[in-house]
Amino acid sequence: QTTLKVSHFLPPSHFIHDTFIEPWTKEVEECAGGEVKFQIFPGGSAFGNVAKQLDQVKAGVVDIAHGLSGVPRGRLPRTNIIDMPFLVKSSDSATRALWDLYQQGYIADDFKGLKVLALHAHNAGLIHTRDKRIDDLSQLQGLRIRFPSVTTKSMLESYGASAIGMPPTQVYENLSKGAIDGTVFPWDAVGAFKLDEVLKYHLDAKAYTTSFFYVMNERKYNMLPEKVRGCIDTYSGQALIDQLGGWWNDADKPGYEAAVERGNEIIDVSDEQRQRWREQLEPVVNSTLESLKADGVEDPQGLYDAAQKAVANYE
Amino acid sequence: MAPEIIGVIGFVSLLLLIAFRVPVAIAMGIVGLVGGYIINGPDSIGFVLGATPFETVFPYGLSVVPLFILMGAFATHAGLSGSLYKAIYTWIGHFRGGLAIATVGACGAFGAICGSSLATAATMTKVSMPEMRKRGYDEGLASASIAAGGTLGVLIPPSIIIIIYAILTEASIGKLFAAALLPGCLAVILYMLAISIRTWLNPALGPRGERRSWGERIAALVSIWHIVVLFVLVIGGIYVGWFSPTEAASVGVFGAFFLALTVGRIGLGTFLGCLKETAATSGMIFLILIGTAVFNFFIETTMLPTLLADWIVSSSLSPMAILLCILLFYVILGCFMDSLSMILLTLPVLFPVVQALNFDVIWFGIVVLSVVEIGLITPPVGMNLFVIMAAYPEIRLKSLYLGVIPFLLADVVRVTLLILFPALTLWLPSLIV
Amino acid sequence: MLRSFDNLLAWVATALTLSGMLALLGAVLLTVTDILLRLFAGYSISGVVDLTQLAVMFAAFFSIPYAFKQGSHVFVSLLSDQFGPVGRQLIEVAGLVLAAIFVGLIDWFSWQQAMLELSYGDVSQTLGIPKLYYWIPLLAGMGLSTLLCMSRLMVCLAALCSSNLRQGVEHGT
Ligand code: NA
Ligand code: NA
Repeated sequence: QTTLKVSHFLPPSHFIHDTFIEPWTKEVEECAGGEVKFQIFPGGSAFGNVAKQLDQVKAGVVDIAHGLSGVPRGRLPRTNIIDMPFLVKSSDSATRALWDLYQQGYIADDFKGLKVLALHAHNAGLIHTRDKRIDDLSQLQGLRIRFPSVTTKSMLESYGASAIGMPPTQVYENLSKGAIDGTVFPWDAVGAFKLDEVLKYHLDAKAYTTSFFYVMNERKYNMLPEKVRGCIDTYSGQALIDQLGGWWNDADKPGYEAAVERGNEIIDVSDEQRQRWREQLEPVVNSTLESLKADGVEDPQGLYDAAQKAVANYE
Repeated sequence: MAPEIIGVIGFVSLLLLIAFRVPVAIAMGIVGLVGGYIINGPDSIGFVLGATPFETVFPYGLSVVPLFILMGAFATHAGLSGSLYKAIYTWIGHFRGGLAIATVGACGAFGAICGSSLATAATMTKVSMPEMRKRGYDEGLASASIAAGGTLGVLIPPSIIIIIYAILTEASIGKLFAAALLPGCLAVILYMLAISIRTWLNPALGPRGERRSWGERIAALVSIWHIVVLFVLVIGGIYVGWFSPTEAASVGVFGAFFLALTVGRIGLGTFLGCLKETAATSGMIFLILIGTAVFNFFIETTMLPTLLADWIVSSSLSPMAILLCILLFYVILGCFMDSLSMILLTLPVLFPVVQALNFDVIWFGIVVLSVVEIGLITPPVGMNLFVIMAAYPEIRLKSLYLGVIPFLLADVVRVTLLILFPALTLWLPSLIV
Repeated sequence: MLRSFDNLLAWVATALTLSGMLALLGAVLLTVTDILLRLFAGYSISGVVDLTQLAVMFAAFFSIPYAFKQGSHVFVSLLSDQFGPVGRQLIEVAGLVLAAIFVGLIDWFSWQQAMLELSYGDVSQTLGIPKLYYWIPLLAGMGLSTLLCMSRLMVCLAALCSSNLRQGVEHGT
């Protein structure tokens, strides 16, 4: 019997742990009839560092890891294409588009030495504010906003906001004291960190997404008995891709509902408005694409075009 | 051999190495290294040794540790803490143990700003140990007041660990903060009571000073107006949102340095002395943090904490007995492990039981978090104790270990009260809608 | 010879730790400037967090060898007081050996990790500062700590030998 170590960086109460990874390990264990066992290391544990997920699975210190594709920055430059501002609206379309890009070979170079079990991205995020109601991004001018990724940082700064980096656990505290005016997050984080308590306005800009990887060390995979490999294959890839969008929708519900219940204002955005912002952000997109060349991406524009096409298939 | 047994052997070896005078950080690191090697193999331990030291020091939140120590060093060497304690002394010096009582209060206030028990204990040791010693206070009483006072920060918001608990249990952060407030005050009061009783039994521990006139008191207060301004600026700045709690450490250093230059007139020699002293103390604390991280990696991969938690869960004890087992489990684990990783590792196993037994989520959280911090001051292994030894190397071990006992008793009383009277915890949050 | 090498190391440790502390003070100035700018000018300096983290890396890892130099890492002596002078010195030697192994291995494996991150071209999250700069203080500080432990070990062993000889002479053996 082999024991496989699985690591991720999220608390065990997160759906990635209790709806996605843990049930997945149970399914594979059952399918393999006791030939394999899993040991999960969540966030906060020895293998729970967000910045180490990719390194530790490549080094074989853990066998399977789930992490953020933007951390460490620039390590998975092709996968991060889906994080571009105003590219996707829903987790489902982002996840499916990402998987298509992977299977068509556009982003496969990011994962040498790894067996990719799934790629996914959260529902497009919102801009949440504390005191100032905003319905246009130009009103971000002068506000202090916490950003989750490099792309959102450039986006915020191009509208004149101060982009503040801080760990998600400190956002509640800083919002309640007014040390920051707002934050960029999907609904799921609003629920997890109870941010509805300290926010009043939620601009549903569908501005960005953040992508995640779920990968296995390829050497370890090849060393497994054929039966176990078969089980892993059955429950990964398309099987996970089909479910992730729905899981993310469920994960977003508590945050959304808490905000509605509290009487916070949720400001919807029309497609035309979104299109306008997207055009305004073209310089940001272009300079980001340019910077991808330094990370070893030969044709960033071609990749971006392919990503747009892939997303269009599902939206 | 089963990993759990290797884990137990690891704990025993750690205690032995420490008893044989191996530096605490090295003992934890070596046991973690050897144990981790046996359980996880060479690749894994290589990765951990390569990644852990970096990731232990790297987080932005940890910058408060050297910064607040530096602030304490400036404040001490420029005579700022001297005049602060002189002023406090004119007000309450004529009470037995008055300065130790004031120190507990100051630790609580400081912990409220900085949120790190270690930084609180280190800074307050620098600031108040020499002042209390100067006035004839017993080193055991003085140092133990700081050790115990340093644990108060976790109950007084901001507190990262309360936020983590809220995330894990899906409880309201605002309600938990409110719930922590009265137990936090209760802790302060009980610690002060412990000091009063000790000095009543043995007045030599914290001798009475002369009673001063009101004129002298007002004058003393006026003479430290600049320190009061700095304190109000740092705490007020956080509360009105001028800067974050982490940034407040920088404001504190800047302010203390500014006062040291203008009021204290420190010279180059004193300035360099402050830097060296800060380096020696923070170097020790960081190495202990690295050693603890390597040791924690080993203990986690033995699955010992999860196994113990599972055992408590599957035992057919009465609800109260299960609660006591859980609390005892956290006290013991708290001796060796960092409170955050402890909560993250074990709560997912224990929490379903807590729910099944119909314990209130908020009440349980406050009780557990109170208990988790007790491990910081239980001999022989207690992080706050080590930090005090680092910041005040002259201290004799025996007096520190004996000194904390009354405070441990106060903790037992506090936790008992919290269990017997849930309203202490639940009344304030019930006012929040 | 041994002594003067030890003194040289001690001097380097002091110089490094002071530079690390000055970096920390630099971060303080930067943070305070940032706070003042955003309070009064509505403008914020980009990447203060990245730079503060860099300064703390220097301050922390340059202060670890200094703490070794001061011989002030925290220890607890519960049992060792029972032993005679030679026993205690042996215990100290054992402690130094363990310390040298621990910090030495950290340095060795951190080097490999740093080279790995260098090969990936890792950079800091906001400003894109090469991660290697963050590794330099760790590698230098842990390397110096290893050297300090080993040179202390040599000094200690030398003392142990000579004291054994002396005791041997005194007891007429
Ligand atoms: Na606190
Ligand atoms: Na303890």
